Amino acid sequence: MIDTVDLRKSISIEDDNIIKDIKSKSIDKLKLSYKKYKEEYKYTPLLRNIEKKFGSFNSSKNIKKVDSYKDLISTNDKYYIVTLNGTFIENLSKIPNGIDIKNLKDLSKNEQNIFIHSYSKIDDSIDDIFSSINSILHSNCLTFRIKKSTILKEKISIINIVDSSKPTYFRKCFIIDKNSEVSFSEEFINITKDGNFSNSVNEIYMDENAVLNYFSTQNINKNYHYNSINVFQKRNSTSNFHTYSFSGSIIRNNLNIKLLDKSCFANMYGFYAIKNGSHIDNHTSVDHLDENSISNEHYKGIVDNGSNGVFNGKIFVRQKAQKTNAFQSNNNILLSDNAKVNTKPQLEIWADDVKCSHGCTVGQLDDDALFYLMSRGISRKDAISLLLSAFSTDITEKIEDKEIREEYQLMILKELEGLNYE
Amino acid sequence: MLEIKNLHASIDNTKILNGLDLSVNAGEVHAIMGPNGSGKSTLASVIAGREDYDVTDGEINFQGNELSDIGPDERAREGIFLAFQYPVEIPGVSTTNFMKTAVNQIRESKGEKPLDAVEFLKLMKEKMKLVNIKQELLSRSINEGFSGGEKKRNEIFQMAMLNPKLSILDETDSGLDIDALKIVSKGVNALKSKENATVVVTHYQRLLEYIVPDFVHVLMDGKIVKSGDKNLALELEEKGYDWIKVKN
Amino acid sequence: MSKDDKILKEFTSKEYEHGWSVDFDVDQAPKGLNEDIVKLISKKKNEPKWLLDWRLEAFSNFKKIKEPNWSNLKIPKIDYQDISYYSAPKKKKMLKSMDEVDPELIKTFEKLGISLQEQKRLSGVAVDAVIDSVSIGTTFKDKLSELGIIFCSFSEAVNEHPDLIRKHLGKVVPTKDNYFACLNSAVFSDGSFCYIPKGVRCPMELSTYFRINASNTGQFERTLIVADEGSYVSYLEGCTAPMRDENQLHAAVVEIHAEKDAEVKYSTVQNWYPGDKNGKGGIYNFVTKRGICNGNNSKISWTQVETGSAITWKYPSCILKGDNSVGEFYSVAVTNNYQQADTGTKMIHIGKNTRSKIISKGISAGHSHNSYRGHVKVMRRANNSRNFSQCDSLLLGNKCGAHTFPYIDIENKSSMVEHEATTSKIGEDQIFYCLQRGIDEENAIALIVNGYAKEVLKQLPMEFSVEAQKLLSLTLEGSVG
Repeated sequence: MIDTVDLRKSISIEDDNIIKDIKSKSIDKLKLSYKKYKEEYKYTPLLRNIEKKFGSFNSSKNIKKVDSYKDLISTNDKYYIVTLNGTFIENLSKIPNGIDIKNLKDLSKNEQNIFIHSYSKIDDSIDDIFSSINSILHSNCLTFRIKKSTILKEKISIINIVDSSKPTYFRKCFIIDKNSEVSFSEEFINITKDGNFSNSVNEIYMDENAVLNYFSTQNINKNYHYNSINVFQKRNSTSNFHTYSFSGSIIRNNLNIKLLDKSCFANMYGFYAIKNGSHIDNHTSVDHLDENSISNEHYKGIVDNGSNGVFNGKIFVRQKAQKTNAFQSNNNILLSDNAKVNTKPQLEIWADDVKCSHGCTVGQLDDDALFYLMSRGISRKDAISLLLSAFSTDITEKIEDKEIREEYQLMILKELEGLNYE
Repeated sequence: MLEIKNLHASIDNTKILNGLDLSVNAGEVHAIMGPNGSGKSTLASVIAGREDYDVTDGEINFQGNELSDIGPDERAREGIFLAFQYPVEIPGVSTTNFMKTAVNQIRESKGEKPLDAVEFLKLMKEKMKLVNIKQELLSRSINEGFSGGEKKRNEIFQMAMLNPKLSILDETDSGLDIDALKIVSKGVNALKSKENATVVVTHYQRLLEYIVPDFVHVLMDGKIVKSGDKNLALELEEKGYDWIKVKN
Repeated sequence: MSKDDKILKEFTSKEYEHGWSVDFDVDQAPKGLNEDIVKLISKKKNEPKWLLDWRLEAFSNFKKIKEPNWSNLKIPKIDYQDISYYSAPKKKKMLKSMDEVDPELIKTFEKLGISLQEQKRLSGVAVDAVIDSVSIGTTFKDKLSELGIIFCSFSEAVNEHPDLIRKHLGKVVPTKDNYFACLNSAVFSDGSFCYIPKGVRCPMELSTYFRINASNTGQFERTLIVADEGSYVSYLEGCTAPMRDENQLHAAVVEIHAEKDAEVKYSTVQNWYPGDKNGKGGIYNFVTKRGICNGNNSKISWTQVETGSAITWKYPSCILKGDNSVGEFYSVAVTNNYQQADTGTKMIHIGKNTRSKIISKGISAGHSHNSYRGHVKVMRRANNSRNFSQCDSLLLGNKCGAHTFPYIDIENKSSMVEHEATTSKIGEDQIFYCLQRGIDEENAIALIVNGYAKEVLKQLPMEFSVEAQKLLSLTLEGSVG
């Protein structure tokens, strides 16, 4: 099990008392989160892998010259934010007006107070040991503040670069003020083909009437990744999450949404297409705490040779949350006999006047459809990718922005080409 | 038989009926017409005792009893029947079982002994003919997967089974083709007698060609604004509801 | 006061019908659990050494493992030393026929509506009656034995058919399976055994009726059903217990073997005392039920109507080992007041072309909690396997909970698995529709709930189906507004 003495040592170098306090609280949570590990990671042996590979959770403090990473930034993006091993690289970033992005430590006392009020408050460290470790070991929280009534039409890319032989920690806290609207896309770029572990925790506060679109893409070869996004929504706010995963030794995504107020919307869409020993585990939870909110969740996946797709969706409807509508669905296609799917859609309901449903399926490509296409002269390979991409459209069509949608559709087509179907 | 005085009713604090008066005697057929949203269906629901509606003022008397403290099941046992505009589906419960429960509970409340399976079947067979409904349909879960016509026929079948004193037909013609309309009307007409009364709630005059009313009332903004005989319905059909609005 | 509250307040719970107890002369072991008690039970039953060793092995496993804590149940601490593990109505000698059974016992069962006198039974159901863990008699034995069917108490089978027992006991639920199964294996005192020989279709329903009578005892019965090649049997299980303020433990094990082309249908109507309306007393029902479809084309079908018990923890399961074998699970679980149920099934697909179907209907009322927990596993070689699961929950009132935990693990690409679940309440428009036809609220709810559970109820043998419908209505009486 984890060496807490080692972890306590890492706190002692912290000079800020508030942060010191937050971190030592996280150490106290470790025991509890470790207890939950067995059930929550039933199919995903992340802890064992990380301990075996790295021996310690500690990160390295060395940072190379940042200019060498310039080429990693796609010229298509209008606005982007770059972090390296968890540290914000301001001079490589391009930030639009209306949004403040700063390290927590660099904020004024006033601004800091706003974030301290929310920072490290809704992360899932009680339930997840990797979030606890992130809380303890991240060196700097990057804060995002979208000011009241700011409408940012252009998507902002968050590019996280991982270049370290030791575990890396990314920590971000977002506050989206009233009536604002903003879109982010986040990805992790690993400099090496294998051997990295990145651990990222985001906390997102959405005030009344705020709208958020959030895209995350994961295509990290043989690296390990832990990603926890924790959302907290106020009245009439709307969140749309789109998660696309293609490769990774082990990827674990936690997406936790709390609908604190009346009339919130939360939409979670995910797609995964994995092969060659990739392991992707999507754990989501939506917690309806008040009346009249709606949540929709749909994850679809294609799992090819040697790969493992894991899905766990939790819907909680609390006693006060009457008139809730919650829907959840997970569909999988298995392409190979040494591929595995473990899915657990779960409902926990304490209110009676609700409409909740979930469904999940595991199946294969429709051979009749395949034959039909081939009988029209389409090659087997093309027919397969046509059917598979058709399978993904339920998810991609949920992206409202046409340009972004096409970008993702193209990305999926490219990934599907590499899949086999015997 | 039915005496409504100054009826005010609202739902979720929205006023729908604003001082409605209506008097129905045994042996009569009344038609309530009016544009969408005028309160027709509300009136039907309030008479049947639907609890979503608050009666804020006025009274409904049925056979000399004030109804306000009486629940919908007791009203039904007193002889009020509502043929629903949108009949509800109850999965797993056959119409036969449903009717058997209802018929026997009503009998019990009157101190009569419940019908046994044979007697009940006999009664059912007799009433089935009236609306041309098949046994097979009655053994299926109630209204589940029924066509629009089948649902409405099932309503009239239930009306025949329960033999009510006052029948309220809420938009019974909606969604019916002409053949179904004829069957339904035939059933309603066959059930008419000197002892019972019928209130037909409808948007169109069409139904009234088959179920001929003695009185026609126009409902607008929660009140009856005009009453007349069957010719009023024809006039309305020709001139539209705006004609009345303008006149007022 | 709103109407809902009014009805809740008027709620005068229908007294649990079977809450009485009878005083007979009983032979009861001292409280406590240790090796000596295990030996004592074995000795009292005149058991062979292998069975004692088997029990002791189970007991040593029991001491090693922990009480399960993964369920969605709040289980008060159970003091296993405060329970008596053996209680039997005293009898002087081995009984040769039902005529020799203590008339007091026969009366007890007549009170429950179970006649043990064959000539009085019209419906052709053979009954093995088990009271406080001990079988007191089995009806229709002679008629069944003409066909080669063995249907007798477990103790009798141990002595008369030792090879059959030794071959099958503990093969589906081994001595180290889970906490409560270990406990049962160590201390079970009786139960039923049933063997259907090759090619025989059992002409009547076989039934075991369980009754806990004594206080401070647990009931630990063991049922073993072996259906040889090409045979068929339908088996029913019913149970009741007196109303007592203390909680009583019931930890049973049922094992089923279905050989090639055999079919076993196992139905349960579980009506243990659920505790009073404040949650005091009631049975803790921790049961392990599992069947194996050993041969090709075999079938095991579980149907359960769960209305009783303070806490229910049970997952009747199927191991689909033979090719083309079929597993089914039909369940209605109703909880009211402070009852808790965590129930469901496991379908383990090992053979090719195996099929399973799960239909679960949960109904929660009062302050109760009702969870469905299921596991569908398709192993790598289970080509072309199919599973369909439908899990629906109905909530009556806003103080109860309904939870669904399906685990689905698939390792075969040619298999198809579908799971659907919904949670809803009874539609107000449905209730109004019934009221408008003159049906009162209680009856309207009973009608709707029975309709909701119909898919499962229709799986029960006729006479049980009627009883189950009544039971559903009774359990929910007065629970909704």
